[in-house]
Amino acid sequence: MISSLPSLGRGLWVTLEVSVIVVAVSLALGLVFGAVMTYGPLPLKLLVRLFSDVVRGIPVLVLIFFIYYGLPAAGVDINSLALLSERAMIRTCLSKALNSASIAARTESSDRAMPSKLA
Amino acid sequence: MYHFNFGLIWRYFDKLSWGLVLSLELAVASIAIGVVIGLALALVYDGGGRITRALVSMYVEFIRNVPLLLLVYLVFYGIPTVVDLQYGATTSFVATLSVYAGAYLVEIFRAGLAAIPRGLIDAGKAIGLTPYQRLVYVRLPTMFRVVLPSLSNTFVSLFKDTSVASVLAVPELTYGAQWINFNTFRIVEVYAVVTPMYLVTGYAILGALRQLERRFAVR
Repeated sequence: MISSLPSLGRGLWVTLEVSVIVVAVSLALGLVFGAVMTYGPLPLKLLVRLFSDVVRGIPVLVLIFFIYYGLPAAGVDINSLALLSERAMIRTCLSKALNSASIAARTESSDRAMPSKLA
Repeated sequence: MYHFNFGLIWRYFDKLSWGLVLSLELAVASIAIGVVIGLALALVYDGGGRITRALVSMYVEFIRNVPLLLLVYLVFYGIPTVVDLQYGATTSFVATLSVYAGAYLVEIFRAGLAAIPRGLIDAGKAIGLTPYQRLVYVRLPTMFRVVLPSLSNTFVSLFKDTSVASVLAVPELTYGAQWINFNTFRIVEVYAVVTPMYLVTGYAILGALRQLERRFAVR
């Protein structure tokens, strides 16, 4: 048991690394998608909405298998980090936050409605 | 260039359709047991002292802060090596998912119990209902109407979590997909079929439950 601690530690480190990468990437993407959801033109909004609903509607495990086994088979060459789902989740959280912020903002008087003030 | 070939998928489609049925069964069994656990512990928490409250909180925090996959492995591989118990993969998974759901449902029911207007309980007292009658005729019915939306969200989320059962070779939908994946190598096609199956089922369940919620909505 004690002798396996180093490899468990390395595993923990990988977990942390993946978490950091996922959070960073999803934060960036989420912000962009959230802004599109709130202020973008209708076709783009629908596209983001579709993406968000699809990703949230399937299990993470299926998404991971799809990306890990599916994309290389389809000829798409990616590194096998299955970031997409986590990214989508946080992105959706953010878009929800931005969305509700914007709805709240619109019902208030317009000069106080700037998101910068909300944030 | 990749050539799509769905023929092999349709040939093994019964693996997917029965997998979907099993996924739904796992989700239903887990939420049924989970509701019992959640309700019991929420009531214990509500009427309990410091120590019982601390114990319930420990259970909730433990389950919610450990990945589901780890719990599944722990119950299936871990417990039988320590305790003299024998159980199959499906039983093991249902037990795990129920305990997992229970932890989330405790919080939902606790919030529901707290959301009951004080006046309703006082009214029950005023007309001379015993504490037990107040629980059965006033608090529980009100609570269920309050928590119904959270319950349906939990159910859909559990339905998606049943995909984790594939790591124990429980033949549910994701396992069926993996099986076809490894045996026919029509990888993209399998997931192009399985993804809509999860999506459509998930949204259908949610739609049906939303109808139910409308019927029982608190005004």
